[in-house]
Amino acid sequence: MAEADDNEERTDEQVENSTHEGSWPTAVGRFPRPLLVVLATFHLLALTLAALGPAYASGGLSDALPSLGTLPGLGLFALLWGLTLVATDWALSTDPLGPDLVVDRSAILLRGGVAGALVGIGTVGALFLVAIGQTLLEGGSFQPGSAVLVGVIALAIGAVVGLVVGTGLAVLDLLVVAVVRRVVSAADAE
Amino acid sequence: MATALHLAVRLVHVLAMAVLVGGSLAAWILARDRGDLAWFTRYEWAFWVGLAVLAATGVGNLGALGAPRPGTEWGRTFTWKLGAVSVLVLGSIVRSLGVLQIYTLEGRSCEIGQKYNFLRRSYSLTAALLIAIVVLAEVLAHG
Repeated sequence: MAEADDNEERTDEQVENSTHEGSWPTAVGRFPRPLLVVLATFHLLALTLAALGPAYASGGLSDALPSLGTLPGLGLFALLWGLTLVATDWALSTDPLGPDLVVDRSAILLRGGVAGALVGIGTVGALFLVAIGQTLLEGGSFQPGSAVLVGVIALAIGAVVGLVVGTGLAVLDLLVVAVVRRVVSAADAE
Repeated sequence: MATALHLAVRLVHVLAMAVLVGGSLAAWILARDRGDLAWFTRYEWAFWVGLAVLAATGVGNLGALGAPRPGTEWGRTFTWKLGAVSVLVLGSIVRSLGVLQIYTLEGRSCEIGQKYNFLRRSYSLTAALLIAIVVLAEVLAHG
C-alpha cells in the first residue's frame, strides 16, 4: 500500500528512470541483449524446425545426417547461430516492444530480407571456403576459374534463399509481436 | 573417439533439458510468489540458449543413432516429439517477448501486479510441455 502511494507521488521523469531499458547491456549499443538472444535464437530454431520437418517426412533425414557428421554439424549450427545473432541485431535496429513505439513494418520486412540474404551469403561462403580448404588439405586440386564460377552461383543461390527466409521470419516476428501485445494487454483486463 | 563424442553430446543434451525443466518450474513458483522480474528475464536468456543447445545436440543424436523412418512406431513417436518442440518454440517466443515487455513496462504501469497471472500461466504451460517432451524422449530412447 505504501509502495502504491509512493508510485502516485513520483514524477514522470522518476517513473521514466525507474524502467529497466537503460540498464540492459546491449550488443552493439542499441538493442537489448536478452531480446536479441531470444529473437535470434527463435529465428534459428524456426529455420531448423522448418528444414527438419520436411526432411524427416521425405525420409531424407536418415541419409543426410550420418553423412554430415557430428562435429561439422555442430560447427554449421554454431556458424548459423552467430550469423543470425549479427543479422537480427542489424535487422531490428529498434526495440519492437517499447510501450510507445510504432512498429515500422516495411522497414522490418526490408531489413529482414536483406539480413537473411547476408546470412545466406555468409553461410554458403563459409561452406565453400571449408570445401576448398578440405580439397587442398587432402592433396586434391581444382581449376580456379571453375571454382570462382561455382562460388558465384552458390552465393547467388544462398542470397536468394536467405532473402526469402529472412522476409518470412520478419513476417513471423511481426505476427508474434502483435500476439504478445494482445496477450500482455489481456492480462491487465483480468 | 566417436563414442566419447556422442556420449558427450548426449550428456549436454540431457543437462540442457534439466536446466530448462528446472528453470521453468522455479519460474512458475517465483511467479506465484511475485518474485523479482529481473530473474525472469535472466531465465528467458538461459532458456533460449539452452533450447538452441538442445536442438543442436538433438540433431547430433539423430545423426549418431540414425533418424527414425516415417511410418514406423519409432517414427510416429518422433513426429509427436517434433510437433511438441514446434509448439514449445512458438509458445515460448510469445512468453519470452511478453516477459521482456513486462520487464520494460515495470515502473510505468500501475497494473504490473496483474501481469504475474501471465507469468504464472505461461511458466506452468512451459513446464508441462517440457515434461511431455521428456516423456516422448524417454519413449524414443527406451520404448
